[in-house]
Amino acid sequence: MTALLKAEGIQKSYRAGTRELPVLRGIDLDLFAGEIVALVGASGAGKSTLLHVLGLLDRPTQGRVFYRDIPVSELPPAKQARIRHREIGFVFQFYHLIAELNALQNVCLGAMMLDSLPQYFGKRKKIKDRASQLLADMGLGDRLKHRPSQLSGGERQRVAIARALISDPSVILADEPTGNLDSHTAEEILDLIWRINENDGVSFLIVTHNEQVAARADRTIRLRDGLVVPPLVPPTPSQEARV
Amino acid sequence: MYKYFLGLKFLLSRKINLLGMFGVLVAVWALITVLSIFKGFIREVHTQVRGAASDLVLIGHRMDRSYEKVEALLQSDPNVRALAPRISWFGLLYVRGGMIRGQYVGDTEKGSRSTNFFRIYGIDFAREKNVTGITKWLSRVPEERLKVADPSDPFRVLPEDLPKEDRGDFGQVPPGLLMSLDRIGNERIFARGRALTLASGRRIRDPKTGKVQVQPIKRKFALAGAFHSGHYDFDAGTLLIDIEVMRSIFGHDPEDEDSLDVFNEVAIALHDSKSAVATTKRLNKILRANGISGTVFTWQQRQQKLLQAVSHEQGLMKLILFVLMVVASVLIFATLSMMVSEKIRDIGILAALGATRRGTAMIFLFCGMTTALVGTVLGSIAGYFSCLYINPVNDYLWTHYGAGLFPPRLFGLEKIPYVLEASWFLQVALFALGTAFVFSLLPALRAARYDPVKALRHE
Repeated sequence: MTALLKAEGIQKSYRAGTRELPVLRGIDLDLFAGEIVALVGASGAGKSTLLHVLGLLDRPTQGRVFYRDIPVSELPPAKQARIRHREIGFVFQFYHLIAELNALQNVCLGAMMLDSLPQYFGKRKKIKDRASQLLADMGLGDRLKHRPSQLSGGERQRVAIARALISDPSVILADEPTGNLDSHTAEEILDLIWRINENDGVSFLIVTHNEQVAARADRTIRLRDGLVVPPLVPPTPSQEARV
Repeated sequence: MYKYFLGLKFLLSRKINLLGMFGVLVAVWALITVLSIFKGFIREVHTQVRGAASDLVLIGHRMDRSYEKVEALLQSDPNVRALAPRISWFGLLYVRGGMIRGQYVGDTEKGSRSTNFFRIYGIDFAREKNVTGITKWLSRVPEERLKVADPSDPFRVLPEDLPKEDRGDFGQVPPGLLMSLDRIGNERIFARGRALTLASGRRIRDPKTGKVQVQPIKRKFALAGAFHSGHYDFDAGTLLIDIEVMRSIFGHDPEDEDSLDVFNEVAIALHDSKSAVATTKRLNKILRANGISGTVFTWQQRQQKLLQAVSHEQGLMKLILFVLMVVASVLIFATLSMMVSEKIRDIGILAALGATRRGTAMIFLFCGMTTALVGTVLGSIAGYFSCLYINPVNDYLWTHYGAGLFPPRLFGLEKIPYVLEASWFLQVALFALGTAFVFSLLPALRAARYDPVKALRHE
């Protein structure tokens, strides 16, 4: 089975003065279509950095990122931006909505990125209807004209998820999507993510500290000091006998 | 699409952007208004100077030849339409013992300065009217008491015009003199027939010693009327008398057939004034070839100092106002830079949504250019209407508050002149937009170069 998103030997280091600080030390990772993977690890383990590299926001120092077997990390920035727009959605811990736009406009913005002025006006109504529908599906049908400052944390995160969904991505990279929410709202957002996954088949890679989220995911990948921690394998009967 | 959509949203949500727009508006308005008025002023100066001058003028002739000989030579050029001899001299004018200050601007070692002297032109009216607008100068005088008695012979003084106290002992009518309306002003003492005394001097060579001496001249004239060429400097410092009277002052008897018809200037009118420079060269060649003193100049060459001074002033004004435009663009730069700093996290969000670096730059460039465009359009409209209504506004201020924006009469103008040229509007607009583009590009590029990951982490 071909991975939707694949990381191969990803290394990433930052320069601090004359020193080279390695953050990712050789990560191999596969994300398959329709699965939800939790990426867990302590602070500084490199979770967000890996998410940015996989989302083509950052280039790896070494290694390659494949999207449907295409080595996308080596593409020129403009092509990467196009893939980012069409195939990858982002959801952030602090929602990252544009303060000057209302909920509907924030969602529509996600669909404007590749269109020229006449192109957009040709399908403006379609985009607006779709954005309104997405927001209504998320229980924000009466909040379309509200600015982010007029919305609660949970509502903002739902707007952010709707924005990520408007361009019909195949994968959404979520960086601690519930990290800034109370447990009740967090639960609602997680339910929403699982519902989207189930209904639309969108894959999710969720960076989280929350073990409950990890437990709910199809798979969990643990990072420690820039490396993937191998999964614990239960001992075989022969190993037990030796002990 | 997102570039324009977001650019507009960012622009409208910050009132500080109005500052840049207002700066461009003021700069464009000032450039259009001030320079349109300046252009109007220059046009007026050109018209005035042109109206008081012939196409070409021969000056510096030594009065050693009779005019007819030189006339024949000059007339040989196919572009010469008409000629008029003149004698140009200087003198002081008195009325009832008091001196009337002439304002002839003479060249001294310390530069040009106004003097008390008048430049006196002895002219041949019959010929002069073919080379300058003298007939118009005479007809522009509104007051009946100052209008010439006989427009076909403007130096004629009617005996009945002479005031009793100015009539000579033998009832002789003195020769006529024309004085400018600007110089007469509102002084009621002047009316046709008023006795005037002209004091001057002439250089004569003592036949015994051979030394050159200055012999004082004092002649009585009567005011034959007034003229108004419209060129203030010319009018304020010029008196016109008949050339034969002038010749007699210099000792030439008009009745004597052997006497030379002397002159020291010749006003020349051309068929095609566009080829004035080429004609000037040809005429000077003819003069040199025939050993005739004097040089022919175009009217622009004669007024070079004045025209250059006005042109330099305009250049300086343009420079100052263009600097103002740059300052306005710096305001756009400052507000955009501030906006970029405030929007760092949004730059990261846009990158995550699929915006390219170029697209990010375009958002801020659009903000800067829209600010400049709105400022330019409003400034152009304001400039247009400022010029259109400057005279009514000026008149209103003058009538109600005793103060005006610009005293046109100071420059001998009836109203504030202006020239509205589409090309100038276009130049100003292009400069405003060009400057704004350069100053908007810098913050826009800064935004584009921002690392999206760092931008997303920006607090």
